[in-house]
Amino acid sequence: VTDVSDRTELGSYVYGVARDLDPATVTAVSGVAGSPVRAVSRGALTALVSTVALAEFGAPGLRRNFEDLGWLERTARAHHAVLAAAVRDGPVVPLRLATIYHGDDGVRALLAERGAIFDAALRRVQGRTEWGLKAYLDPAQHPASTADHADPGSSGTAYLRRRRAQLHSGEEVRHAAARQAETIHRAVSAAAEAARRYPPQDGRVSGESREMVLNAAYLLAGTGRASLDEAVDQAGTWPLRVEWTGPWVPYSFVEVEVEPGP
Amino acid sequence: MTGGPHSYHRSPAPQADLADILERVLDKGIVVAGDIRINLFDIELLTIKLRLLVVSVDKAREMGIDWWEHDPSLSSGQPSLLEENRRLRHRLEELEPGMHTEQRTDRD
Repeated sequence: VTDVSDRTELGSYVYGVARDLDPATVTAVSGVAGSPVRAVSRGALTALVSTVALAEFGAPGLRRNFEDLGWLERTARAHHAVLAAAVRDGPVVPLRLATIYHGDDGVRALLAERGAIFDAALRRVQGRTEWGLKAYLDPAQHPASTADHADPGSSGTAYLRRRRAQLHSGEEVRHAAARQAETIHRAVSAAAEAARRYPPQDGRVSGESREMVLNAAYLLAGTGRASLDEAVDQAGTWPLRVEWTGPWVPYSFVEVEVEPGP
Repeated sequence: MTGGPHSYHRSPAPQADLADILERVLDKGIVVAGDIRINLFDIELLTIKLRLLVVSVDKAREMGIDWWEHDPSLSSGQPSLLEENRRLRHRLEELEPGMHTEQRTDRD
């Protein structure tokens, strides 16, 4: 028997770091691999932590499990659920999926040695929320499906009818879609504190049959997104359909690489 | 808003989509060295493999969207994302013989 330790060893999985967190906020949430979540604190900083088996979360286990989309989905959803629960109580900075220490001492050392970095990141996201925006080419705007069922009494729809008639090919609609996506992104970025674009998602992961033209995240003060909605309304959406996701933990706006402790 | 064919659709926020979560938790957030590290090369493979799943390169390029090819955050440390994707397509086919990857990243 050579791998006893691999089956019995435990590690501390860290989801993220919060300030002045009430541990009760996260104790009801189920963490990765169904584990309970606890708080490991040092000063005002609190790391959200679960105990995990290194057989599953050690380096060989992770390498194997990361190739398993089912495992990855369960783990990613659990990671997100813990952070989403914590952010209701105050600012949280998320750590990248699968940040694992051999024990809580390592987690406390992280908070001690890198406290200033976490403090700065927490200040940056405090009172702010991330919103996701996805714009799809509206299938109803495809030339093949633009049968005229618009209300003839409305000048707006009459204009759109003429506009559609000008666009003979799917290619033209697609170029119009790409241009409108840029217009929307510029308008929403101007209304937000920070913006970040993602590549469009593939339908095989998202399960979405429409073509995604814009995939972006915006950081905004407060918990509503009224000013972002307004920016979209003013920019116009044709021939796209715009959908929001969120509010998100500010994943997209805390990207920092922290060097190992001194 | 009534949700007519041209209007701006405000969707409620139901349970988040897997693709939305993955693109945020995998290589966003604070990156800190834990005690348990998977080999950096493996992480590169993983993120590129997931980008293959998440990015629909052809569809996007068809619409004239190719900004990521000039985005250093998507190609940092890589000789070329396109080259890397080409190599990884073969690896993907080995790993997931049932999944056909149709992304073409070649310029020709």
